[in-house]
Amino acid sequence: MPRHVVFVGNGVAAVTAARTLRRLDADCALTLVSPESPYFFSRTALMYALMGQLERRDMEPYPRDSWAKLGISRRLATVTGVDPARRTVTLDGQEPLAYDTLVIASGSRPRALALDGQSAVSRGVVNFVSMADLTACEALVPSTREAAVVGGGLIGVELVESLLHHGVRVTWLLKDPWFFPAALGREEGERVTAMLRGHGVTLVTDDTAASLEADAAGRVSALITRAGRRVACQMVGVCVGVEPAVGWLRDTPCGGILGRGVRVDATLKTALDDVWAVGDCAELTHAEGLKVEPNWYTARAQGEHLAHNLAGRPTPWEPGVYYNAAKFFETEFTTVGSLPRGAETVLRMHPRKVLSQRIAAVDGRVVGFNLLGSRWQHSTLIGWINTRRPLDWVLAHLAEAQFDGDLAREDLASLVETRPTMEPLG
Amino acid sequence: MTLLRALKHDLTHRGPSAWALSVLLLGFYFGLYLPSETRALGLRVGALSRVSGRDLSGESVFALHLPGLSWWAVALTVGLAGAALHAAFERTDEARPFGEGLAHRLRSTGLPMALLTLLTLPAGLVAARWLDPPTRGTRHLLPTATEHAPWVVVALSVVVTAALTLDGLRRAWRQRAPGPLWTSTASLGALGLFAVYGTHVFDPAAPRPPGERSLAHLGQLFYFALDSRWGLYGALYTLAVLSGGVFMLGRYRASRYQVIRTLAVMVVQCSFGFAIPIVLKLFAWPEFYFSYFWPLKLDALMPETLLREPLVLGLWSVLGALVLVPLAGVFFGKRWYCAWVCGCGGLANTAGEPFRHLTSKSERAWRFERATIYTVLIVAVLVTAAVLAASLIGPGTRPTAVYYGGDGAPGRYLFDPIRSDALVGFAAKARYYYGIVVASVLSGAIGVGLYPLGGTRQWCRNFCPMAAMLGLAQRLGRFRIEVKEGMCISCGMCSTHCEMGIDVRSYAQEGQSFTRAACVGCGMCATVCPRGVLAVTAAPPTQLVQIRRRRP
Repeated sequence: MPRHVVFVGNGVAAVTAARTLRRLDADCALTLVSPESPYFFSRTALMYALMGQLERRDMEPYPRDSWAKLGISRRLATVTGVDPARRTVTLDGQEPLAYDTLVIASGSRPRALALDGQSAVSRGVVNFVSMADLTACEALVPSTREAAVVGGGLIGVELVESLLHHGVRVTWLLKDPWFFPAALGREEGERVTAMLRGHGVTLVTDDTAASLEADAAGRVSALITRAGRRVACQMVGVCVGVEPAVGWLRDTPCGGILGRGVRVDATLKTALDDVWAVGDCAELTHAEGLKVEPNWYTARAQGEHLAHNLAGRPTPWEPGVYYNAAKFFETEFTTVGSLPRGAETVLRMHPRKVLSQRIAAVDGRVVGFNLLGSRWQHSTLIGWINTRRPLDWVLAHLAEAQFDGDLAREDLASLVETRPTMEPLG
Repeated sequence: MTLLRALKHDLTHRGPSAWALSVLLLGFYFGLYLPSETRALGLRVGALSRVSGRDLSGESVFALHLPGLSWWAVALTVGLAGAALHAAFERTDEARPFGEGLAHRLRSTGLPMALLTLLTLPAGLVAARWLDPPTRGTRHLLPTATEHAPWVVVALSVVVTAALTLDGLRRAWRQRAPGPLWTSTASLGALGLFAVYGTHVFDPAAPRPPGERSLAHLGQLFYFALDSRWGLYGALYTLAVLSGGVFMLGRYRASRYQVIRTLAVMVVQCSFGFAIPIVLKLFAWPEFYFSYFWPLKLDALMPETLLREPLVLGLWSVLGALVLVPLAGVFFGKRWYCAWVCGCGGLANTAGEPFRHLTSKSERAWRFERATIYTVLIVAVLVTAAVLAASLIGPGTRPTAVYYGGDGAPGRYLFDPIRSDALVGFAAKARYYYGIVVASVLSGAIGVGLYPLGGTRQWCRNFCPMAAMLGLAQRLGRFRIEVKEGMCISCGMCSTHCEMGIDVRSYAQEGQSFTRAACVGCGMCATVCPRGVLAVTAAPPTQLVQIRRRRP
């Protein structure tokens, strides 16, 4: 009998692992278990669905008949626990499911915000990371004139853009002096913050939510900030980051493998036999830098690695040079490598537009890029970091890494070059 | 505001108003391209309902005979056609078995369309009757007693469809999804009637009772420029491209490629597609469109066209079709024509923009496309070859035959080994049917009429022989959609926005640069990509450091 590989989760890590494993091993039985959606969908597409640009079907990256063709079965169910001794996972309201190999890929869940008056609010407070969140937002938007969004990360800006698209007046609370200080330096951060204000959002910096008020029906009616500002709103978006969704494992016999997430070694294997973990919920015990990396690209790459490991081709996960990309309204953002606080940087900035490149170097060698407003070939930049190119060489060859299409190529000569250090926060 | 939003969603998501708009456009195009055929069809439908042998040309044709068997047959046919259309445009779903799908399509689309046809056939009858020139002059101002029935039904159908449409809109807003087609099929008759009537109003050549004027008679200059239905149609077309273009410029102002491309499309339509032919006419030259080439315009290479035209225009037609178009296709890809110059693409990329996401991305649609588009190309080549051959060896020009005649009397062939009269007859017939099926129905009626249901570029994707030829040229060149490896987030914006039905995401998420014959290079996939993964380009490939570090 072929071995049965059960994946807890139906996100990009689990699905990439399952599809890659099928390519490497034609015989094993594959089952994805998740309560969220019967078909894998792209979580990154949530904002476009909320904006009405995508329908639900458009969010599915693979044709529906491909699952049957590949022999990957999917089970719509909530996993409540794991019994490693009997090799079963227990399901909510369904018979337990037996496994030979278990892959935990339960992803992230939104971090909660403890606010006064929250218990009186039964409707109107949303997160924006799941299919259920999307449906909730869609139901709320038509009756929302004003909304407040808490948190200045990538999910926050997506929710803000979607709400503005529907004509909602948005007040956006950032706890920092400028948008996205986790990645952006002060100079670009302030430029982006001004751009965001230009899109009509009321942007409040250095402040965060303190309490909520509800109307008679239990719908949120106002948000009070730490500084005492009262924001009338019918919807509150909480986007203050995510954490590994592993609470369901806490009180099971598997509790021992938990740290912040599911603790795994370099091969993505846990301390238990035949139990592995991948994606946002995995905590990499061997990593020097980020141990939990909630990122689409990481999850997908880890999924590929895991499949090789499961197929008996040991492929340790090495985090490698970090890269990520995002979009703030019309402005595209690419970051590659690291930009340590206090590092020497070159900042090339357009006099007016949100168009800049910040290049960080340590000991004269390039270690990171923050690129705003145009498109870049990240693999070229990764290559430069890996081969420890000198800063001057990179500045001279920067145009080679541009990825703008025809007629859209930005003229790098129009930028003004300065050499600020990467300012530490606070 | 709420109602407007609901209407927009409904219109762009195959809701009731989309079906109604499609019917309106189809009616308009059939009336425009094939006025006499449409009229004849209307009368034929009238004839089907005839009982007791009453004559079609008499007043009594307006009497309503609902229980007539053929009446039901027409309704049933329309219903089945609706269900088939539904099947053609829906997304395949493994969860629904075929039989169940059939029942669902029949119930949700077939039944309402059949019922509505029963209600609105009288409207078609009235329209056909009203347009029929021989009887128009004697028509009473007010319907006589026997004519009351159809008017009552028309009024009733308008009220019913209006109510259903409003209900559909209400549902569309509440559920954020198009209302069931049940509540839809709005105004099939009322809008169809309007469409047919509209073509009549705009047609200066249509016979009219004394005192009635067509809109085209307003002003002498106007009259000169728009002296035919085609002149007025050209003006409406240009207006649609311009207003849609303004919408595009606003929506994609952040993308330099889209701004420049849209401006190009607008300028080309105003000049080559509209003003220049009129100016040429002012100087007594032929009404010549520099932006249309063989095989899109089959006539361009027809011998009698070339002989009639000034030499320079003929040269442009020949060199354009045989040298410029394919060569530019190899060097720049299909886009230089399909997305920058062509009027069909111009309308799709401006006024048709709100419907671009509707194009089917399924395997099935792709198979259909490959089968049909190359068939049309082959047929176009064969028809052209037949006409050329016929004119080369046709009567009077045959070197192989001995012609006997004299004194101006019709002669006859004494010796005719290749039976060229048969060839001449075949060429004429082939050209006529190509004109009706491809040039009128597929490019006009289907091409634009199905925007709201099947997405823009139905014609470009499935039927256009020019697109087929350019697609082949494109595959020879280095035009491609370049994909940045490892950066795709599979969001689906690119595939959804592809008007040619290419599942761009399936390439992007595999990190695979690609060239597809269908791609018209509109660049929208690259524009909407939120992670800058795609670049539409024909530039030489750069020497990139290909890092596959994160992939085992």
